Amino acid sequence: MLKQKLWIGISALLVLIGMAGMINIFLHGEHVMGTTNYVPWGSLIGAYVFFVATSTGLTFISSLAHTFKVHKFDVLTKRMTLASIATLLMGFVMIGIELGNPLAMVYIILSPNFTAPIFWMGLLYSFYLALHVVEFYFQLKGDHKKINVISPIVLAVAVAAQSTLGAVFGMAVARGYWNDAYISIYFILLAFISGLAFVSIMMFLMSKADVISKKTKDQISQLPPVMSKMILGLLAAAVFFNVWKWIYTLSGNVPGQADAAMLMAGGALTLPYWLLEVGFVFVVPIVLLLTLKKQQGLALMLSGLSMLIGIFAMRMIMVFAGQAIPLNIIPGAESATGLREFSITWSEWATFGFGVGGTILIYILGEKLFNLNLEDDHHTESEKSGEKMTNTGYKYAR
Amino acid sequence: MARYGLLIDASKCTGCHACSVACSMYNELEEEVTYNRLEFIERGKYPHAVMEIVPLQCMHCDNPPCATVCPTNATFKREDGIVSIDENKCIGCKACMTACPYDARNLNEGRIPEKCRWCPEMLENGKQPACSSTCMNEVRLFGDLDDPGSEINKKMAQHEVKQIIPEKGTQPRIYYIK
Amino acid sequence: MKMKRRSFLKAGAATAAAAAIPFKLSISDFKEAAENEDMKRIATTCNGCASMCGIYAYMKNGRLWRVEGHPVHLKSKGRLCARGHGMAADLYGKGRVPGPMKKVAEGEFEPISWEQAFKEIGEKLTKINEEHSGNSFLWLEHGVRGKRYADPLLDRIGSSNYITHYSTCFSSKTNAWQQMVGGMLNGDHANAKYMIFEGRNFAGGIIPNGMNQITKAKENGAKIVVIDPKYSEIAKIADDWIPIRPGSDLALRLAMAQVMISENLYDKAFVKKYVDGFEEYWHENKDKTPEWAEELTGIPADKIREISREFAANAPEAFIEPGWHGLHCHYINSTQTAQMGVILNALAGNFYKRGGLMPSANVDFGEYLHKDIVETEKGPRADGAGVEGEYMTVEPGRGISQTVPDMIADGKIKSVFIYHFNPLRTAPDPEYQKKIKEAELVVSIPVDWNETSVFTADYILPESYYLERTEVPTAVSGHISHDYPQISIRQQVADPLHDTKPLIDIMRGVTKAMGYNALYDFTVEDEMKAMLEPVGVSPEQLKEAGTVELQTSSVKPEFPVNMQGKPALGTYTGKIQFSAELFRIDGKKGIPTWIPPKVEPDRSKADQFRLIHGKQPYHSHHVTSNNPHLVKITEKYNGTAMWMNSERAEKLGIKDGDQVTIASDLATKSIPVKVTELIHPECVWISSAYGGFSDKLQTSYNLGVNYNDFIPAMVEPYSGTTMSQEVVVTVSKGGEA
Repeated sequence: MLKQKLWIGISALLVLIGMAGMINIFLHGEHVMGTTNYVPWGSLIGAYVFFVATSTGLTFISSLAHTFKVHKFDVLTKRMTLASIATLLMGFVMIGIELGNPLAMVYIILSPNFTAPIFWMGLLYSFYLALHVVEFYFQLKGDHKKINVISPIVLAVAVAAQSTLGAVFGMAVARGYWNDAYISIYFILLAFISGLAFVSIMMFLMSKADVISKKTKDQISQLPPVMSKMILGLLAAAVFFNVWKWIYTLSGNVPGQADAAMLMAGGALTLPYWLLEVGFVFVVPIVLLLTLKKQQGLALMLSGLSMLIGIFAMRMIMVFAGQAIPLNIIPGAESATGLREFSITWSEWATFGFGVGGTILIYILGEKLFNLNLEDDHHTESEKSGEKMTNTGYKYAR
Repeated sequence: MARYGLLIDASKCTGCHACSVACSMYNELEEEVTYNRLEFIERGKYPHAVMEIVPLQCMHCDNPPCATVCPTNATFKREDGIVSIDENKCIGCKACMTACPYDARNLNEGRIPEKCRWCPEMLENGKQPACSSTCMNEVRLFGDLDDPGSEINKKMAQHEVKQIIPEKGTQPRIYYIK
Repeated sequence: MKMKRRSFLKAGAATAAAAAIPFKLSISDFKEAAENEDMKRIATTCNGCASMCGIYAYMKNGRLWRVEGHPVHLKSKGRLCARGHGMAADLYGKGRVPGPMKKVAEGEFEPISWEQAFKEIGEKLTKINEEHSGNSFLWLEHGVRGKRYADPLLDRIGSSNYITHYSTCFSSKTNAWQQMVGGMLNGDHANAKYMIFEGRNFAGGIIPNGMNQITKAKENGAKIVVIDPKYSEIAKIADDWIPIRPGSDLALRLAMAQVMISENLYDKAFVKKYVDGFEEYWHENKDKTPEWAEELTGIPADKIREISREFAANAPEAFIEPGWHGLHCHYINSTQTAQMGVILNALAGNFYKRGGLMPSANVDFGEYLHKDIVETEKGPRADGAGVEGEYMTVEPGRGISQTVPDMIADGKIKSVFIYHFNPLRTAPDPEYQKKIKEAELVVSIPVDWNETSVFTADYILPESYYLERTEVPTAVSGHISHDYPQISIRQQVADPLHDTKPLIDIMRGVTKAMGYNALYDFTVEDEMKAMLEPVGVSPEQLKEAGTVELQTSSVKPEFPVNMQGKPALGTYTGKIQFSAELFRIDGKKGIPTWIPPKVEPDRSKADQFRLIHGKQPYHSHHVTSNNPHLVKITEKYNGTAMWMNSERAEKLGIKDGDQVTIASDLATKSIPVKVTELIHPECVWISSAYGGFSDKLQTSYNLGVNYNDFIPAMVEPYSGTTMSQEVVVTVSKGGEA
């Protein structure tokens, strides 16, 4: 009970502080955000990418069960779908705060521009959310027939949406650092890794929760080796992407691209890049997963935490690196010397906090309202008291 | 239908900023919004150094990247070539700002990215917009590129002209005398 | 919550077209709304600087929307500079004094009624005049707009003390030209083939149509040479920028004359016919060779020869711009530098020539006859201008404005009226200027809470803004050439926003309280009628048009001669006098020759610089520095930064954007640096606009640094100017932003 209150308390506090930040942004607009006319996309764009990519990643993993029939993951599907919906909703909150005029979103339908990646992204993510809710409904009902129909569609929409999000950056012709076709594919890869990181933490908390049935725990204990392999494999792929990106960037002559890379090689973003992006996303998980083989669950949890923090930083770095280098409009112009200022304000930090707290609260609420265990586990679990049910719920959350 | 263009003779600009203030007054711009600006470039070594000044504003591109990425067509290309904004439709995503290779947009208090309008109500009446009409050195000349007799076409025939970063494929409607 | 850019339109459109206008306006709505607007266009004149360009003010729903240049007015010709647009908006500025104020404590004021203010000031002034004399009263103003309404009082109480800001601005020029030519001529930029702008930034102190003529002349093949330690805005369109060691312009000019004379390039026929004192000049300055000047100016002798020859070759369609502020109150040799401006132009034979120097067209206004014409005998001028044994060679019409605290300390001045002048910020040494408050009565008549009003005034009587008042017609002339005379009028376009009055009403109120009931018993309308009578334009016509060109007479490229055909300039001999007679009578040199600057930075010291200043094209010195539109430009374009040559900066380890400490004997201040190739290595430059210290002017308060902080109040012996660039400062890295 205490622990549940603690989780709810912390997340409620995050949500409250977040609301203060959001109200501040609502009242004072971009004056209280780190954005400028030169750096129009701020940290909330990064946070949006972080949350929706995590959501997408969770869908990938849950689709392993339904679409690719990797039944080892069956045990987690409902919880992953719930977490996916929660993170997706929080992503929408992030973008809603970043958008200057979210009420005009109706014009995405009334006056669509088919050449705009944001139109497609908005369409696909709306569709994704709707399908996700339907999928979750059938998961709760245990209607496998319908799930098997919907799940592949959700997966396809998720892939499309996430790669379109990549295109939102990739198609910005003015920004050399983003303007790259590979970014759409890299976004899919990173989303997968985000999802795995999230699941790694979920698994650990579930395995430690005393209210989880032995059967479920046993099923979960089957997962670490496969998770570990997937993470290592995907990280290796991401390393390839990064190495080639560096080589192409430094040897190429795309305006703004090499300069942006230099921010990370020896500039304003060096420390966050090497510590948080390279260190937390790649080095720490690889080392942990290769060395801590005896406590694979713990290694996965720590790796997951490390990767989530690192990927969050990575999103920020990407957003700012693409804008910090002044556009080379008139060579030698005085206004284009140095870097464009960028920052993350307290209101923005508070809004991310809302995202984290909101994810946890939605998840706990889901655990309270729905039965998220496997059907065959149904009876044993449902016999337990409601209080204990929620007790397990909070423990699954990170 | 006219096809509007702007010819700028940057060599005549002496950096008085009258264009900017006249525009601010005419369009009643908010403090943080500017539709046009000057870029200053110092070249050479003392005592043979010079200062170049280049007036910049929305280029009203024929292939406007801002309109391409606008999800709701809030930014759109008019028939006369003016890239215009329907503020009602703008969701404030700022994709236009990241897409513009000219840093032409400024966010207003309502969080809508504004930019130079080319004051069509002036052009349609054969008048120069405020930035041009107030310029003591006659740096700017707006006109109809489809009208063979227009001043802008006459002047463009006399000079070699260039566009700013044409390699981005934006096909800007502002021409600069070389 | 959203603030709409075009909220003004919404309000207007709402009344006109009611529900037809949507909540937010698109471009097409803009047009529609604009057409339905209750719009009024009123012609008047600008007050962004002293040029008083003709403008149209557009009123939308009773509120000023914008201004544009008057198409006829020869200074604007439809075009305006940034100041003109920005300052119009200051009608609604936050810095305006909302009504008459009385000082209650240092820097603190309480509102009082106009009646109360008039009564108290009238009584105090009467008492002071009785105790001392009327001559203890000083009228201090920018000049010359207030003179019209200062004179009746000065004449009535017997005060000779009318002093303008000109000694902080350009008295060296007007003095030299008055003495040598009998008046001013203007460059005929439109027709010139060769123009030298020395220390004169025509693109900084802007007359829009003048710049238009200059750029047009350039397009037609004219050559523009700019000689200035700093690459000024006019240098941007120059064919040649020649950086000169500051303070050595006189040497350059002497050498140019030496080349022209020694190489027989000057207009001998012109000189013979129209010049007096040529031999004396040549005798005195034969040795001022380009090699001699190279040493002093840092300009190669060959370059000096080259521009001298080109200048002579293009004569008479060539001139050295007679100038304005630049050079003409800057150095101890400024008067001689101005004299050399006359001499070089005369050697080119360009006086009264197309493409050379041309006169302004005259307007013969009628005169309003005052009823109260009682005059009291006046005492000597407190500043000593024109007074034998004091500053005899200084023009009394302009006076010496920077030493008013001395005049008060010496007991010569007891009461001061300050009209649209802010010596605490625009004259040297603000701490010294603050002592103006030591006078028994200080009344300031400003528009805004300027430093002088806040720190010295016992009473502040705010005048209505220029868009809120009507003034008598003026002849449009000065600085640029135009064949036909023009008259223009400043008229009220908006109802006064605050409890303010035009100057004539203020003077009527004060003098009535002094018992002079008939001193101002007329209105501007009365004066206007009398003035326009002989001109043949009715007040109604002028008000409607704003600016009227009179085709009745025109200036001609002819040297003025008398009935006998002899030269008839307003000088001692009627000719251009190379020797200024009055200077000679006062025991000074009538002929200009080399005078070294008063101070020089020690070139062996890495941290010593001469501090020079100049006008930014978007500010009129300090007077515009509280304008949000213009300060937006300042902030966006790094306007408060001090320019420093990159080589010197490197030696001091200073990088672009660094904060530095700048110090003279008088002050130590901190300022950011712009490191540039575009300035002479021996000086640093700052804009004259900044350094506001009136906390009632929020935009200008603590914005940047002012050159006046660093210079003591000095008086140049010939013309009484401030010698504002005779100051050496040390610059060191670091300092608090």
